[in-house]
Parts: sequence; structure tokens; C-alpha cells
Amino acid sequence: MRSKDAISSIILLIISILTCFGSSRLDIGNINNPGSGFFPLFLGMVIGFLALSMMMKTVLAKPVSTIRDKLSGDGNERKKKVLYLVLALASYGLVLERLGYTLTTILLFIFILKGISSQKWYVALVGSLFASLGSYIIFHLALKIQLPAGFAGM
Amino acid sequence: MEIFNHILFGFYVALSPENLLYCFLGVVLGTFVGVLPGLGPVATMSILMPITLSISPVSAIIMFAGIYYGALYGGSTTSILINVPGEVTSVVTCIDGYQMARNGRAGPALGISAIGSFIGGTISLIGVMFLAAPLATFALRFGPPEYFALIFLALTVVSGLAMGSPIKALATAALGMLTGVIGMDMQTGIPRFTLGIRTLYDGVGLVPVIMGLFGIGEILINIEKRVEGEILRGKIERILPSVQDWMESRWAILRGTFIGFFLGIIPGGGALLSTFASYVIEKRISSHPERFGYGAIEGVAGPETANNAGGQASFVPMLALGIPSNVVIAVLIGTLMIHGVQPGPLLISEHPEIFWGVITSMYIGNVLLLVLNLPLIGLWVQLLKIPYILLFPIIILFCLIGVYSLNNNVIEIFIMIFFGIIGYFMRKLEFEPAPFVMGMVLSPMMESAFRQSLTLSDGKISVLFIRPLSAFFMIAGLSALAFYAISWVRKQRGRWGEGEGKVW
Repeated sequence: MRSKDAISSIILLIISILTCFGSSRLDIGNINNPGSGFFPLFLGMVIGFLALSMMMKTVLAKPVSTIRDKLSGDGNERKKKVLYLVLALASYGLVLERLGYTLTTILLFIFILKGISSQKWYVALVGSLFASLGSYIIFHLALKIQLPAGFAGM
Repeated sequence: MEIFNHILFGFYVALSPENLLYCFLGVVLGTFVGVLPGLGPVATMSILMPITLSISPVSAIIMFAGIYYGALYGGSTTSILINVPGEVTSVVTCIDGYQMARNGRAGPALGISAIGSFIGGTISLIGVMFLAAPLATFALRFGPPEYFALIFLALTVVSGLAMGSPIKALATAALGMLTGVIGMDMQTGIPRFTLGIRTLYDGVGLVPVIMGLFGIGEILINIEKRVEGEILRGKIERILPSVQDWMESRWAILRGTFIGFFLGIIPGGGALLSTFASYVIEKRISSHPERFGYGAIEGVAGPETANNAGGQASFVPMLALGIPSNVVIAVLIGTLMIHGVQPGPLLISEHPEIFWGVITSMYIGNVLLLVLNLPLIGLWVQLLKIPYILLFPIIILFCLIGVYSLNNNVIEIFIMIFFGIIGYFMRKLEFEPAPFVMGMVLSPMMESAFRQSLTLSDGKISVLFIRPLSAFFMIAGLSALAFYAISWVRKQRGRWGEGEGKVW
């Protein structure tokens, strides 16, 4: 709990400093006629104050024995899955407009169903085809939502 | 008599075949996502937002309102059957609802929850009808200081109601406001914090942020934790509560209705506060408080009634003032704005079909929910058996389609992923994401009111405390902050007084 709050307060303090710095490069104006940087500067100061309050709370809190998250091998494995999913989604965004909606979605679903959900190959293949083509029919053909066509035209 | 003409007009709008269909779709979809843990009403509305661009704003809001109160109904099913709240507003229902289910009384628990919700929601709507219009007329007198003070009050109340530390919730709201600042300054046209990214010149879109924080963030944390609830085995036989159940819960339902309504109309109040207040009051005034926590039906009837009464009353600040009470209402406001409709006191005169049509559609929606929910409880139970491992890829797909199709812009997918990562770490560091969205939605309105107030008063911040209404809102907000600070100091003193080595 304390370590989480300590990390949070440091992150908030960094955001606060960056916000105040960014605001100072805008026109702050004055209290009679606030400029575009006035409100962000005010927000940056509020965030800074809250970060310092959290830091003070962390320092003042009596050191107590806390239940630590013991990371088992399984826990690490799941953390890796989180990272893989984020990378897969980012890759999806990168190639979506080049490969087109259906092909990119098939590839994403094969990766999710096989690599993250640990399903059998045939489940991953059939599931990805079903999800990609089914959603294409519903959203693009029926609901007329624009989806990237890519080189294959769909 | 004029009000009855408005109500008739509202029913005329709500009962048109198109709006009736959207109301039906909304309540069914709402119950569906309320039952399914992992896909709440906020993410659902965000996914559907691009689709609603092809329908009228009144149909869109009728459907989204249906999703909201449908999810309030549906959320209780998971609380009672698997002890996992489908929605945060159903947390309290877990306490006695799950115990009732374990005692073989899942049917009456689900039944009283549905009936209580119907009664609470319907009575609350009468209040909404009679209060929203005069409040909107009154709000026309609000100037920038009143708006600033009211938003300040809403944000402090929301932060106090968030799970965990109020400091964290306030910081989350401030971060949301900072995100709302990104883009062109409305008054000067100067780009702020855009990092040279052209997409950000129009500001950070609400949909990618919500999808990221609530959709992707939730999925990432669930993959890591792999939380699965244990579904109650056995058949649910009798749904309708017995005479004794009725006798035990009738006053709880009545009290829940009034608690829900009056707490729901406070900006920042809404359904969540109502459920907790109802449970505490029921336990306190009960002649057998020891039954609470072990399957007391009043512990289900009161909070579930208050939940729906509060949820529907939270439309009052939205329709009359344009201020969201909670994150779902914030999304509704965002939807109206995408359709080019400015929520606020002028909504009733400029778009009476939305104002009265949405209110009356909620009557129809409540009836639909009661008719649907009681016979379909078996179906909802089956839905709970869908494994999360198969569910989350579908949620991801909906998020991707929803975000891309809004502007056909792939950058918004990256914005969603970014906020997904933020949402993941927020949950890890015990920050609740709801105040973030509230802050983001309210930020432009608050900044504008803040700057106008200072300009009008020649830089005198005292303008917020001179005008009676703004002074009232400011003092209420500051009192809430003082209350959080005093509570924290007391808590720390209590801890310092305790011995070392205590695990907390």
C-alpha cells in the first residue's frame, strides 16, 4: 500500500511539474484576463499539491508489515500476456490500413485465442475466421460502418 | 396543466415505433451487459456511439438511457448469483443477496430486486418530471460563477464517493481535466499540449479514452488476475417473493425510493451513494440488525430500489443543468454533443422532444424491464456461464471497431491503447477511473466558467463567494473536502494508536 502510494505520488509530481512547465510556455495572462495557460497551470498546481499530500501521507503512515504480492511463475506468465496483448493491439493499429480489416482481425484473433487464451489451433483458426467475417458482415455490410479495405479490398 | 401536455408530448415521442424499438434494444442490451462482468454500460455506449450517428439524437439517448438503467437491473443478477457485482452500484447487493442465494432463496432475491427496481424507478421518474423542468428554468439565471461552483461541488462529491482514497480520486479528476484541456483553446485558438499530433488539435476524443480506461484497461487487469466467480449451482424455482418477503421489504422499498431520488438529484450523487445510504439506514432501523449480512431481504430490496431510483433521478442534473452525476451520464452528455445538441437549461426549450421523450421513455423502459427480467432470469444465468477467456476477445473487437469507425482514424486506436495502459496501471495503483472521465467531460465547461468569472469580476476570486448560489455550492464543496481531510486525520490517529505489526 505504502509503496503503491509512493510510486503514485512521484508520478503525479512529475506530471505536475511537466504541466506547469508546459503551461508556462503558453500565454498565462493574469488574474484579470486569464490566458490559455492559466487553467492548465492551475491544474498542474492542484495535481502537485495532491501529489505532495499523498507523499506526506505515505511518509506519516506508520511502517507496518504489508501483505506483499508474491509473484509466482504463473503470475509472471500472466504479466507477460498483458504485455503481449498490448503489443498485439499496437501492431493491429500499425497494419490495419495496409492489410485491411478482415485479414488484420483474423491475425489478431489467432494470436489472442492461441497465444493468450491458450486455445487449440482449430479453435483459434475457426474462431478468428468467424469473428472477423461475422463482424465484417454485421458492421460493414449491415450497419454500413466504414472499415479499412487494405490491399485485399475488405 | 401544462406539464400534462408535455408528458403527453413525451409519450407521443417515446411511443413512436422507432423510439419504442430503440428503448427495447437499450433495456435488453443494458441487462445483457449488466449481467456480463467485464462489459459495462459505459464501454457499451462508447462502442455504439458511432452507430447512433445515423439515427436521431432522441432515439440515441432513449437507447443509451435504456442501456444505463437496464445495466442497473442486470448488475444485481451477478451480485446475487456469483457474488461479483456486475456494476459498482450493485456492490451492496452482494452482501445479503448472495447469502440469500446460498440459503436457497436466489429466486425471491432476484424477484424482489426486479420489483423494487421497478417501483423505485417509476416513482423516481414522477419526481424527475416535476423537478427537471422548473430546475432548468431556474438554472437560466446561473452565471459563470454558479457553473464553476456547481462543477466544483460535483467533482468533490464524486471524488469522495469513489472507492479508496479521496486524494487519489481528486488527483484522477484533475488528470481527467488536464486531458480535457488538450487541443485548441476555445477562446484563443492556441493549441495546447498537442505534441504536434494533428488528431489532438480537436482535443482527445471521449470514446477512445473511455474504451481504453474501461474496456482495454479492465481486460488487461483481468488477464493478469484471472478472476472467475463461482456460479451458483441448482435450479432457481420460485421468483415471486412470498407474502412474508413482501411484509419484510415493503418499507425498505419505499425508503429506498426516496433515498435514491433525493441523493440522485445531487450533482455527483447518483445511484452509488443511494445504495450505500439505503443499506446503512435499513440496518440501523431494523429491529433485527443481526440478520444483515446473512440474507436479510431488506438488505436487497432497499439498495436495489435506491439504485434504480437514484439512477433515474441522476437525469435531473443532466437534463436541467448539463452537469453529469456520474460517468454514464457523462457519456450521455458526450453523445448529445456529438449530435450537435448542447445539454443544459436551454435543452427543454430548444429540444423538447429529447427532454420529454427521454423521460417518458424511461417509464416504458421500466415496464419492459420488469416484463423481460422476471421470465428471462434463467437466460441471464446461462449467460454468466460464458467463460471470460472467450468473452474478452469479442470485447476487444467491439472496442477496436467502435474507436476506429468514429472518425476512420487509426491514431484513435493508439489513443485507446494508451489509455488502456493508463487504466491498467490506475487499477494496479488503486485509482478509480470514473472521476477521470467526469473531470475530462467537465473540464472545458469549468475552464470557460473559471476564466469568465475572473474576467467579469476583474480578477476577484471572491466573486465565487459573494453570489448566494455560487457561495452555497462552493461552501458545500469545500466542506466535503474538509470532511475528507478530517476523516483521514482521524483514521491515521486510529492507526497510530494501534500496535505495530498490524496487517492492513
